[in-house]
Amino acid sequence: MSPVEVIELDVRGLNHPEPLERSVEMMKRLDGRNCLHLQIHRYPRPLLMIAQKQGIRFDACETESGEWHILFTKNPSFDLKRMLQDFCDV
Amino acid sequence: MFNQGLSLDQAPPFEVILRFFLTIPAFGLLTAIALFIADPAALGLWDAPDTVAVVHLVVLGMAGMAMVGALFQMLPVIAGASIKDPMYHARWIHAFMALGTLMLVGGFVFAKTALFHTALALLLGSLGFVVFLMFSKLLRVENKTPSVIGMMVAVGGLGFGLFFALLVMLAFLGVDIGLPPQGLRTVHMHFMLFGWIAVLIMAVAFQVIEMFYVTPPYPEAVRRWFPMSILALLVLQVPFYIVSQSAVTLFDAAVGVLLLAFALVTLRRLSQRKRPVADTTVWLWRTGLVSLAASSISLFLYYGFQLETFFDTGALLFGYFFLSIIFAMSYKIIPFLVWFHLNAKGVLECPMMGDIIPAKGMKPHLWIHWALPVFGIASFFMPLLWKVTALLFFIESLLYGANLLGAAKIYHQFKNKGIL
Repeated sequence: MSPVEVIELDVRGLNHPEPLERSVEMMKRLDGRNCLHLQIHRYPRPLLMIAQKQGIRFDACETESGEWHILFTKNPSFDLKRMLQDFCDV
Repeated sequence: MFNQGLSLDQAPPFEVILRFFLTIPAFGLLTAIALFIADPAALGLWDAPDTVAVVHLVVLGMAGMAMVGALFQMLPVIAGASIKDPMYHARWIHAFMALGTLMLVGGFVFAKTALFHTALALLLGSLGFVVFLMFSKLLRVENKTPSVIGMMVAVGGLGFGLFFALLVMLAFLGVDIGLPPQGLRTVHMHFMLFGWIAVLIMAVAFQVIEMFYVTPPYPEAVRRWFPMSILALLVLQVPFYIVSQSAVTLFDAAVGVLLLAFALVTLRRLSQRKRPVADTTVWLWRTGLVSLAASSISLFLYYGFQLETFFDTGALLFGYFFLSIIFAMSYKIIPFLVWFHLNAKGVLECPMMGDIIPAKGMKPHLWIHWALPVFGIASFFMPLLWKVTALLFFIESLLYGANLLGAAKIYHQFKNKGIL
């Protein structure tokens, strides 16, 4: 099995609406073989609602400093929780 | 901590919010017309029918529409309290509010007291239902954040304001309430302006200043205690209208101190942004907050020197404060909602948020808005300048309306082109 391609996106500290716009642009690059790793300074509820409506899976974890790591994918078999453990001590 | 959980019904249909927000500039135009045709000499008197009409057009027609529309959006999205069938409720509440406001204002402008009965029924029915609906939903929210508590307090303030509106109207129609009519009117105004509008702006600010402008969070004491303290002061103040006027003044001063502190803390937060790029919405927030601070200081000066001009200026600046914040919020929220709903529908060619209401459309509005208080305050000394103020307000409302309509047009152009 080929390794998962991870698209990295760090939008921490950017003013609204840049984090949302950049994330949605990156989400358009998702296919069955890759996932998007988003780092953001707060829980992006509207972005996740868009992802949910588009049928994109996601999972998120918060670091001790209050920032968020979120993984998005269109592949139903990726274990996002396990992949997130590398970023957050959970 | 993992995924906080989502529900697709959290975001109400865009049409719900758009309906309320598009009505704001329409009432702005009516306000400008009412101001223009009013007797300039009467506008200096707060009890003159022309003045009461203009005040209600601004407070009910503009602020009321903005606040109720914002609550429809915030309750499900920020508080997680979903409103069943929001479109149905939004339609009748909006229609009753708009018609009730028009009839109330018509009653004052054309001296037709018969209009007041229907206006009162429409406004109490719609806004009273808003209080019942929103408060009961917020009460059931498990995680009561400061914004949720702020919203509850604001809705409670509206409830008190409506109750005293009923008493004022009954006194106005000749019913003996047993309380001095001037005091009743002041209590009604205080609940509406401070308990409802100012507290809701606070609750919104706690959420959006940090989120939209990436600032440090508000101090916990401000978030937790300011909204509740303001409402508590307003409630405790009521019996003193009968007992002691000097105690009333003390309560007023305490509310003024809290509002001044809120304005200064928020201005400080805006100066602490991580990436200090000042767009029109930031300038509108600053304009509104400076006005709020100046309004509070005017009130203190009025108590110190007993000069009516300070009171008039303070009242005018308070209105300018909440209008500035309404413009700031709608210029941030409407493009965001257009973008959000189009993306949620899978519209691939969705414009960027900055193109939905372009900066070049907002800037002329900001410049006209800045000119407004200059002429407004000068009108107290030269009443004929009310005509110029009215013209400026008319142009401002036209520009604002054109910007909102432009955003609505983009949404309607694209909404059926989604992949969903």
